[in-house]
Amino acid sequence: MDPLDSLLDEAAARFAAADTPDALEQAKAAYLGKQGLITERMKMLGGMDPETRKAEGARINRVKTAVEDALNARREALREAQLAQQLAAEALDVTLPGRGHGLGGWHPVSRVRERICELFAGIGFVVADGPEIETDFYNFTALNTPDDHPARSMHDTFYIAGTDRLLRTHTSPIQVRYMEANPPPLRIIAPGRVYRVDSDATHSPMFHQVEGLWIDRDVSFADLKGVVTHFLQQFFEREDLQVRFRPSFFPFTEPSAEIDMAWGDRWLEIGGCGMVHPNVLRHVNIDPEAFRGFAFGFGIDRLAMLRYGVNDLRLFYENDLRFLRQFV
Amino acid sequence: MRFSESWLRTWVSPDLGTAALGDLLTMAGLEVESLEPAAPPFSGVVVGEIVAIAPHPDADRLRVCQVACGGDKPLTIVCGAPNAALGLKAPLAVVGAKLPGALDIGKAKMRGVESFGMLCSAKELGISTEASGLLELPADAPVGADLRQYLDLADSVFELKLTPNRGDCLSIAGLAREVAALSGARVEAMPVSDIESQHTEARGVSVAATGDCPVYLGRVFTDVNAAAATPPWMRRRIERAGLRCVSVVVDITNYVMLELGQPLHAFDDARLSGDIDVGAPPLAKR
Repeated sequence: MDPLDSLLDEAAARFAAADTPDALEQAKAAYLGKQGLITERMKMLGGMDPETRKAEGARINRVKTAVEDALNARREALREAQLAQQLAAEALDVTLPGRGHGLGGWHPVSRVRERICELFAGIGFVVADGPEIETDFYNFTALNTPDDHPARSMHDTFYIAGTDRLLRTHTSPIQVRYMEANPPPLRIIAPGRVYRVDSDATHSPMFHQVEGLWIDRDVSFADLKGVVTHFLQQFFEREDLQVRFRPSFFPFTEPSAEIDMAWGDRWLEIGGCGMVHPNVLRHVNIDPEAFRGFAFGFGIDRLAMLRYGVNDLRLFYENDLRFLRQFV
Repeated sequence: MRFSESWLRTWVSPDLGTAALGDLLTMAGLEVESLEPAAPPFSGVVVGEIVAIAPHPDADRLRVCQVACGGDKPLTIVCGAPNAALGLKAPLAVVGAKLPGALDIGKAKMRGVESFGMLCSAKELGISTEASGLLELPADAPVGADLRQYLDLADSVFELKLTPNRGDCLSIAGLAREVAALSGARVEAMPVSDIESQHTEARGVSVAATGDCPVYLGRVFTDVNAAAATPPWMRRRIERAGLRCVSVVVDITNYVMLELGQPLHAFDDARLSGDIDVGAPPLAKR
C-alpha cells in the first residue's frame, strides 16, 4: 500500500479519535503543521527531477486535500456535537403547563384613590396632577406660607441639598400650577404622593393626599360643606354619616376648618379645608374681588385605613402578599 | 398650651362642666388635645400627722405610728415607709377609703399589730409615677382635712393644640378672654397694686432691635431670699402647666408668664456688668 494512502487513513483515524477541538488541532499539527508528516514530504520535492516532482507533487497534494477535508469534516462534527450538547442542557419544553401565576390586583391605596376621583368626577371635578419634586415657591410661598412658618423647617420638610427644591409636603402646589395654567371657573381633584420627615405607626415619610379646589364667582363655605359632606357620605356609603367643621388655621385658606366625622362614639379628624386665601389667588393673577373658592384635602391612606379597617399604616407599604391578596 | 382648669376659673368661670368647657374650646378652634383629671379618683384620704412612733415588736422594717387625723384620738397605723418620722404630715387613708387601682382600705393585722388605715405615697394616690416614701405634706397642712380638697386634686388639666394664629391664647389671661367671649361669663380682672421702690438702685437697658422689641422693662429687686420655698398652690399651677419648679425666683417668672403671657427673665444682678443689651437673635437656619 502506498505509504501516502496509509498516512491518509492514519490521519483520518486520529482525527476521529480527537473528541475535543483542542485535541483535533493537535492531531492536525502532526500532519499539516510546520513539522507535520505531509509538510515534510512537500519539502522533499525540491530534491527530485522535474518529472517525478510533478507526479509526486500532485499525489501529495491529493492526499493533503483529503486530509484537510477529513479535518474540516471532523471540526464540523465536533462543533455540531457541542451545539447539540448545549441545546440539550438548555432544553425548554414550551408545552409544559405554567407555574400557577396569581392574579394581580389593585393596591388598596390605589383603589381608594380611584374611588375618590370617580366620586368627584361624578360632580364635575377634573383630575389634575403635578410634580413630586417641587420648588419652595409652589410648595410654600405661593400658598401664603410665611418664611418663618414651622413647616418650612428641616425637621418637617425634605430639602434637596444645594437647590431650592424639595419633596412636596402636600398636594396643594398642584392647585397653584393648575390655576396658573387654567382660567377660572375651575373644579379640580388632585391626588398624589407627599413627603414629610415623620415616621411611626401612624406616620410614614411618604403618604398620599388628595386635594380639591373649586374656584368660581359665587362659591361659598356652604358649598364647601355640601361637597365635603356629600363626598364622605358617598365614600363610606352611609347617608347618615355626621360631619362637622371645626375652626382651624392654614396659611392658604381663610377661614379654615378641620373636617371631623362621627366614628363610633367619637369625632375623628379626617381632613382640612377652607376658603382660598386672597393672597393665593393674587399669586396666580386671579382677582380675589371677582372670584373666590374653596379647597380641601384628605389623607388617602387614612381614608383607606378607615374603609378597610386597617389599624397600622405601615401595612400599606410593606407589600406583604398575604395582606395585599385580601383586596384582590 | 397646658393649664389647670382651676387656675383658669380664677379668671373666668362659666356655668359649664369640665367636658362642656372642653367642647366649647374645641369648637372655637382651640382644639383640646387631652383632658385629664389632676389625680385619679380616690376617697377617704385625709391629712394625718404622726404624733408618736415606735418600732414594731415583731418586724424590723415596720413601725407602729400614732397618727392624728382630726378625730378624738390618734389612730394606730403600721407603716413600712423609710421616711415615717415623728411630726411628719402625710396622707392617711382611713378604714373605708378607696384608693386608685381598686384598693379598698380596711382594718388589717400586720404581724400581730392591728392597723386602722394606711399612710400613703404619691404613687399610691396616683398623683405621681414614682415615690420613695410617704408623700410629705407641708408643716402647716390642716390635720384631718380632706386631701383632695387640700391639694386641689379635683382639678383637671387641659392641653390645647393651638394653631399658629392663636398666640393670644398662650396664657391664662388670653384664654380667659376667649372663654368669656364664647360663654358670656365675665372675666375677673386680676387686682394689681403698685409697689413703690424702696431703693435707688437701677441698671440700664439699651434696645438695639427696636423693631422686634419696642419695649423692654427691667427692675432691680434687693434683699431677695432666693432660698424661700415656692408656695404649694403656685407649684401646683406651674406643674399642671407642664413646667418644672426650680426655685422661687424662676418659678415666679414662669408663673407670671403663664398667667399673663408676658415673657420674663430674672438675672442675678451681682453677676451683671453694664447695661442689658437687647438685640435680635440670630435667625434659625433652616
